[in-house]
This record gives sequence, structure tokens and C-alpha cells, in this order.
Amino acid sequence: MAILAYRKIRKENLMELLQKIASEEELIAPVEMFGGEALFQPVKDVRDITFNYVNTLFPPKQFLLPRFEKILTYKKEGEEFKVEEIIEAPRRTIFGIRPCDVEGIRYTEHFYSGKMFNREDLADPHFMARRNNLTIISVACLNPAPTCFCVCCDGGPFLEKGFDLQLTDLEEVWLCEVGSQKGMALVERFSPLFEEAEEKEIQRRKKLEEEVLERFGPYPAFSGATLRNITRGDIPRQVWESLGERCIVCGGWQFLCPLCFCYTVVDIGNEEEGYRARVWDSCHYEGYSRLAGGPNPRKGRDRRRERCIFHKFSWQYVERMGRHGCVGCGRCVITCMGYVHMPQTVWEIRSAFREEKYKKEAKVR
Amino acid sequence: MKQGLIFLPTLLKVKEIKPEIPAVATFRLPKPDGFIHKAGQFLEVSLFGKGEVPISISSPPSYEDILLTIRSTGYVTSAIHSLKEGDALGIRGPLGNSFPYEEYKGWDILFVGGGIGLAPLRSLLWEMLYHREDFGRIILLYGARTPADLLYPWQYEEYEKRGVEILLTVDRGDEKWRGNVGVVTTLFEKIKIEPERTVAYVCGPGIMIRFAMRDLVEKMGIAPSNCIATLERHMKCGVGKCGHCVIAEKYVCIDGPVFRYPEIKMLERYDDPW
Repeated sequence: MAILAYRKIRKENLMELLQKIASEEELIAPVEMFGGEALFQPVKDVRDITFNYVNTLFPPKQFLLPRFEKILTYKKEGEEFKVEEIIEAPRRTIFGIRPCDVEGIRYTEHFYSGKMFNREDLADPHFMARRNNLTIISVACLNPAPTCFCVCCDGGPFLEKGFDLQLTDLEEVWLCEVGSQKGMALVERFSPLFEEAEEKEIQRRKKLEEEVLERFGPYPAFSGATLRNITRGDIPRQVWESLGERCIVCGGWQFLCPLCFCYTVVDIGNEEEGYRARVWDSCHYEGYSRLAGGPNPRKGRDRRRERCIFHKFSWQYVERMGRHGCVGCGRCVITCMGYVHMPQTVWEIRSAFREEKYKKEAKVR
Repeated sequence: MKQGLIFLPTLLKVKEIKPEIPAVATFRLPKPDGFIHKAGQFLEVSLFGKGEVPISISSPPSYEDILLTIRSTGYVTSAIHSLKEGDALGIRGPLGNSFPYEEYKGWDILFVGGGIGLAPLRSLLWEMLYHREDFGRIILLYGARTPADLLYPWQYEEYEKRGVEILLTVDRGDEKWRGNVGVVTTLFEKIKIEPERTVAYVCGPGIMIRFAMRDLVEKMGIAPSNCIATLERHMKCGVGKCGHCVIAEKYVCIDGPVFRYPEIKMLERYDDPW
């Protein structure tokens, strides 16, 4: 979807807009927490919102796919069970979300809506209800962190689609790009606060985008060659073993990745009364693919790592999901203790093919 | 399954529990309204307070009830085994794809089963026996660990009466066992088939599927695309959301559980499908 319209909004008017939204529905925005980390939090007073952040430590996926979510309750009444599916979907607006996370939400939505399988009858009712009630006001990145590499991954620093409103800081005003009908409705409802954007401001945003590209740090993830190698399945076993050896199976990557969405299901309660919940899970955990009776097709850490990277970077998934599974937010770089984060993995796969000892093996397969 | 509420189980009362072999029992459930399944599909069986497990349907589509053969092997299945007749069991489904059936009318059918892998094959086998005139020869090769582990022994006579050639094997015989001893692939030498008009349906433990499929293609000469297997994974949601059942890019709960040999061979490049 192309940009529907351009508007601009003064800085004080933006705060007024957010305060009005906060009074009507749940407003989620970055708040500086004790220790200086910015995190997405429900905000009642817009003065709590911080603008001094590159990206939040946690992605906003928890507002669409909570870490812990009750999906149904059951209660035994006499002989019969009373079962109810709980769908909790408050109206929400999320402000200050970065383009990489917007792209992450679009990817996750493609999966949970069943579009990946062309099975929209199997759309997840919980996720989709929350997604339909969510308005996204994103803020384009002008100062990427050293860990960011969205520019290599089609994840930013500016986007063309996926958001309802995209704001760009033009110092005295914010430029608003309207990306959806939902965004258009918001602009029209609060039309006194917005002004028409002028051509020179639109040009300035284009120039800013070019300037930002110069400021990216030392973590290139040029995934094209890696994607090809993974799709062919000819990466030497030693590469996975070396990566798996250093992985400490903390699951941090999967929990911080805006595109990871696996979960596990647990029943909490007794036979009479309780609820069924789903909680985040990580494909790096040993029990993830264990079968009843004990056999585990992915027992080794190298196997689990291979599976994760295959999901992110193989053409088979690109074909079904519409994009590869990394937006370059750089959170794995921050969290990974074994130095096997995404750019490093891509780098090691690429460099493996330059080493003589692997070349022979790759040809044999 | 109500429209849209894909995680809501339908509660059914267990009509009958029939113990089969040690730790395995068949649960008979009434069919809910509008329940139509195909051979090879599975159900998510849930027991509140314990959890959900994917169980393949053992009854043919034309049968009046749902039969589920369940082995007590884990947390949920052992709890299901402690149920009594009349207790409630939740089901979601039918889920997954199914065995190709119409496509192979008029062909010779070769079933290769191992252990509890006969349960999903039974659904298709009985459907074919109900329409016996549509198919040529039907051969069942079945192996288990010991003679006591052979599933559905009370049905073999009925199968033979309806024109199924049965060959059994066990890994370890006992004093009464007079039949073949060895893995199920050793039975391949004992049958003569016309490979160009034979389709093989395989189900069992992963390692058995792997070698049975290889021998069917290499020794028996059946075309790879006519070798069909159902794979086993722990499908937690059954609707392609949780990600636990993925093999490379295939979601076993939606793209499977029934796969043809070339597809499985392709997956082997990236992952361990067995």
C-alpha cells in the first residue's frame, strides 16, 4: 500500500493527540525505566513518554502475543464441563514503535492470519482480534544504534507500509505519513491538530532517509548469499557445530526477536477447574521438538540452531511468508552471550565458503 | 469445532474403552454433529488439567463412531488411560491432510506398519475393505517388538476373510511364535508385487519409515511418489501456529502428516524428518 496522504503535526499538538488517545483507549508508548532502559508501557499521562531512545529492549510483540495468555477456562458443573474461550482484545494504540518492529508485526500477522498456508479459516482468533484493535503510530529512525542493521534486511529505517501513521522528526514539526484507512480515520477525526504537509517537507524526509543510511554501524548482515546456501542445504556440518557449541540455550534471541512467534500450551488447574494458557517457547530448548516416549529429532544444539536459521533465512520460508525472517533490529546482538547472534551467524556461514577445508565438503553434497 | 474458535475443544463422552495390548487401549467416542473426516487425519485430544495430544483417527470415515487407539507413553496419554467409560474427553478436529484414496482406485495396495503405526493405517485399510471391489490386491506387512505387541490381533481373521494378505513379523519371538523374526523390511523378500501398479502406505517409528521407504523404492521398485508415509511430531496446536511440529519448511499439522517419499527426501536435506 502506498502512502495515502501526507500531514504534519506540531510537537505540542502531538502530545495533545496522544493525551486524547490515552483518555479513550490504552496507549502504549516507550517509557524510560529505572536504569535508563526504554520499555513499552501502558501510559496514562503523556509526560511519561520518552523520546530519547533508539529502540526498546523488548519488542512490542507482547501486546499481540502476550508472554502468558489464558486461551480458555473450564469448570466442571455437575456432570458437564463449562468451557469458554477467552479473547482479550482491548482497543490499543501503540506510539513510538520503530519501523523494524512494524515490519515484525506485519510478518507475524501474515503467519497468524493463516495467509502463510492460504488457510484463512485457521486464523488465530486471539491474535487477530488484538491486531484488528491495534493502531500503530510508528516513528522513523534517524539515529540508528551501533547494533542496528535493518538497512540490510528491508526493515527500516523508513517504511512504506505496515503502519497506520509514520512520524518523522523534522525538528520543529512531525511529518505524518498515513499508511492505512485506519490512520486516515484517525487523522480526519483529529483534523484540527493536523496540517497539510508542504512539498519541501516531504522532500526533506526523503533527504533524511538518505542521510540516515550513512550512519549505520559495523554489523552488516548481507544475507543474500547465506539465503542461497541455506536454501540449497549445503552448509558444512562443522559450521552448525561451531555455532551450536557456543550457544548456551538461553532462548533470549527468540524472546527478544520481533519475528519469533512459537508458543507452547499448558493446562493450569486440576481436573475440575482451571484454565489453558499459552506461553512463549523457543526452538532452542531441548524439549521443543521432543516426542512422546522420548525420541528427539533435534537433540543436538547444532540441529536446533540450524532449524532456527532455516526458518529465518531459507527461500522455502521467504516464498511462504513474503520476506525473510530478520528485520535487523539488533536485539539478538545485545542479548546473545555466546556470540552467535544473527549477523555473526550470517558472517560465519559466508566465511565458511571461503575456507579451503569446507569447499571440498560442500562440493561433495 | 465452532467457526473461528479454533482452540475450543468439543466435549464427548467416552462410550467404550477396549484394552488392546499392554499400555494401549482403543477409545470409542460418538461422532459430533457434522463430523466428517478422511483416513489419515488426526484429532487434538484434550483432557482438562493435563493438556492436549495429537492422536490419529483409527476408524474409517464410513464407521459410525470415532475410534482412537492411544498408547500410554507420556503425561497426558497416561492420564487419558485412567479415564472410565462415560468420562468426558475433548476433541478438536479433524486436522491435517489425508491419505490419497480416490487416486489409487484399481491399484494394488501395500500397507507397511510397525508397532502402534498400524492405528492410522487401520482407518484407510477398513475404508478400502468397505469398498473392496474398487481395489486390487491388499497386502499388509506388519511388525512389532514381540508377539504380545502385535496390535489388533482379533481383527486379522476378519482382514483375511475380506481378502487381505497378511504377513507378520516380530523383533523377538517367544516359544509359541512360529512366524517371521526380524524387522518389517525382511518381509519384502517374501512377497511378489507388480511395482508399477502398487502403492505403499507406511506408518511406524521414524527409523522404520526411513528404511522401509528406502527398500520399497530400491528393492521393490515402487515409484517414489507412490510411497506414502505419515510422520510423527508433537503438534501442540494442530492448526499451524505453535511451531512445534515443523520439519524444515513443512508444518506437519497442516502440510502433513501424510507425505510422499520425494517430499520427505527433500526435507532430509535441511532437517531430520524421521
